Amino acid sequence: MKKKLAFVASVGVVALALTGCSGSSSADPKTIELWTSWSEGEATAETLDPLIQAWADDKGYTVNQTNFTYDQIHEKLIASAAGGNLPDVVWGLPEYVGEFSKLGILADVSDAWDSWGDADQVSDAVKSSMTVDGQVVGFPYETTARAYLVHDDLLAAANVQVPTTWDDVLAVGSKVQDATDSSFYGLTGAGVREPQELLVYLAQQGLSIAEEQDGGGFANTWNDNPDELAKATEVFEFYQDLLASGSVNENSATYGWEDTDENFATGLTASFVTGNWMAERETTNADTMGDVSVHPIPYPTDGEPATYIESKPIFTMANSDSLEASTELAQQFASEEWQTAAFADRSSLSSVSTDSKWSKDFAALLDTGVTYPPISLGEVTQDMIDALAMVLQDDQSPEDAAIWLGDAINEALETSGDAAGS
Amino acid sequence: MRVGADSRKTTNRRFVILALSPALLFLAVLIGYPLVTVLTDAFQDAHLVNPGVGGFVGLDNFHKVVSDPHFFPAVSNTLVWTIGSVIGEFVVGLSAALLLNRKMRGQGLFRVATFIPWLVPIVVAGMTWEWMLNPDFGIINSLLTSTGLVDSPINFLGDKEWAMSTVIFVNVWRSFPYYTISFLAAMQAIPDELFEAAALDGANAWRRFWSVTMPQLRSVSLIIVFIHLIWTAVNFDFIWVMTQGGPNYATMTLPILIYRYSLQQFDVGAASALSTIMFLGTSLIFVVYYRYRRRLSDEIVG
Repeated sequence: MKKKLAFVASVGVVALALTGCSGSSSADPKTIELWTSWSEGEATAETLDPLIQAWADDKGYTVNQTNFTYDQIHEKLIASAAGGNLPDVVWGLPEYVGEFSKLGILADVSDAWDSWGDADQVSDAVKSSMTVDGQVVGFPYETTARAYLVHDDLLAAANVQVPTTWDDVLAVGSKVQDATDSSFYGLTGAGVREPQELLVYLAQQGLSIAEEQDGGGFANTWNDNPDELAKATEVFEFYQDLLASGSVNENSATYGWEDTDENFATGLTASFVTGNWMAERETTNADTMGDVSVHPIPYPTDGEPATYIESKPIFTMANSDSLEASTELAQQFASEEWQTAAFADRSSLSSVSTDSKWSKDFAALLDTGVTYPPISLGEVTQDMIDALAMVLQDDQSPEDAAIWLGDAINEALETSGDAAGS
Repeated sequence: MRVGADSRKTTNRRFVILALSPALLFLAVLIGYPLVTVLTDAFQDAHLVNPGVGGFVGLDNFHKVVSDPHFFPAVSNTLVWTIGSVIGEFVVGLSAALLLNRKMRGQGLFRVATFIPWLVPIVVAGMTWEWMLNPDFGIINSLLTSTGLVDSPINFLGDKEWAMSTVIFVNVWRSFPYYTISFLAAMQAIPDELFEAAALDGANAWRRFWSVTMPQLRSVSLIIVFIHLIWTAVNFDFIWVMTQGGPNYATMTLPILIYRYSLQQFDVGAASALSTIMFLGTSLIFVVYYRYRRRLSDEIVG
């Protein structure tokens, strides 16, 4: 009997060794697993590392910080949720709010928000971007808007004024290209940035990809409303006209943000809608970034100004063994002290800013900011990319693309359970 | 005496079980469990973010996958990607092995240089080629236009006409050294006497290659071709890094479609159904390999 027990025990030891014998990654209630997405060695990381360490020492916790790309965080968190092995505190993107809420993994931090001394420095738009069904599920650790960046020297060389409307953009056509060899305007035709741009142009026409319905749930209403469909069609027409007029580089129909940002930083594109992370390029591309000015994104003559507001939430996981301390750590990232130290030019707090154009000129656009509705976005953003491919790559009619996208979004909402009546 | 023999047998059996248990546990936990989960999820309405669905749905997931307008183009792309890559790798790998098998000055240096692409991580290789092929600032287009070979830059990864052949080319570039290593090892095991006898019979270099070298490479060819057919068919990272299946689905293969079902649409049922279909397809490749292997072994043994 003893021999049998020893045999079973030895097999068990091997099994545990093989499977790693781990439950939750933060089984120790005095250890907090923190997932971030900063660039190692850059200023943000250099500043935050000692702040995190000092907080951990002060509170008597150990913080295990691991760095991933945002894509990795997204995938790992979904996989971890399925396996029930989640970290405690996680940096996220606004696109994740709806999905992670539906997974049921986010802690409700409404009480911590209400008692937070800096809460009144956060705009309603930012707070609502991390609120689902009345519950706050994150603290904003970084907030930026998109702006229209212009190489003034290139436009001056072509004797072109900074455009304010879509018509102005299209009227320039290939003038800048002819005069400077740099394409005039930019668009993103692939990757995560592409649907964000489309979201802005739709918002400038007063459209949303999915509206919350009276009885609960979301729906795209373009195909039920001829006016909305006409406006959505105009958006897709604008994309097609950008290519046809010669205002944009034809290759940009398949470019992701890596290519488009690089082209703007090096002056291959004279103007482009992007974010204030381009400030870093003033150092790496000093020769070409010195003439950049910041403007509102051009909008349709009969529309309204709008920009994409990217307010990044830091989440606390609902099943954290150290929920209170984890929530406090998350809140620290959004605090005035940490924001001033690490996010001064892209803070969510109105009290934190710098005098640079990358801070105040971008902050001036926040009032016109829009963001995604709190739905599962994976399939919806892919549908937005596919609809743009219809007009930019397959030369299909803008109206067909708008009709297709409206239907595709509603199908995606049904599948994810976000649709009205689901 | 009899009792001692029985005791030894029991001890041996226990030792065998104990020695095998890590491997068995490894197979059960890391291969068996996920495989069974995928096979069962393929028949379930499983969705990661929609708790409102669930339960046995028969063949609905398979119907959904096959009805997807991207399914058959993805099957076609997977076949083109796999067969194109393996043919390219075989031809380039064999050619490189033949060259490196010749005695020449700097032979060691050339051999090391040939293996470099294989040492580069896939992500690094993919991203480097992506930048090199960029139509606006890539060095390849710069060379092509400055030498007058093309009038205007080619959008290799953004043009649907070029995208698949480009990713196949880059895959061949990275993978051919594996073939070269394998062929080189096999060539060096061919007895010189066979070549000398063929030469005495009047066979020229071309004839010696087809009548001596190639028959001796049949066994290693069979292994690496079938291994690469499976590896390439199920490969995800290379295409994902370079095109993410684009432009507009031009390089969408089945593994990328599985990724989109699971981690973009969170439709685990559909992802599992497509994974099951792929599993059956790759199993078929293995069965074909096994039959060829047996036939070849019979021929070699005589």
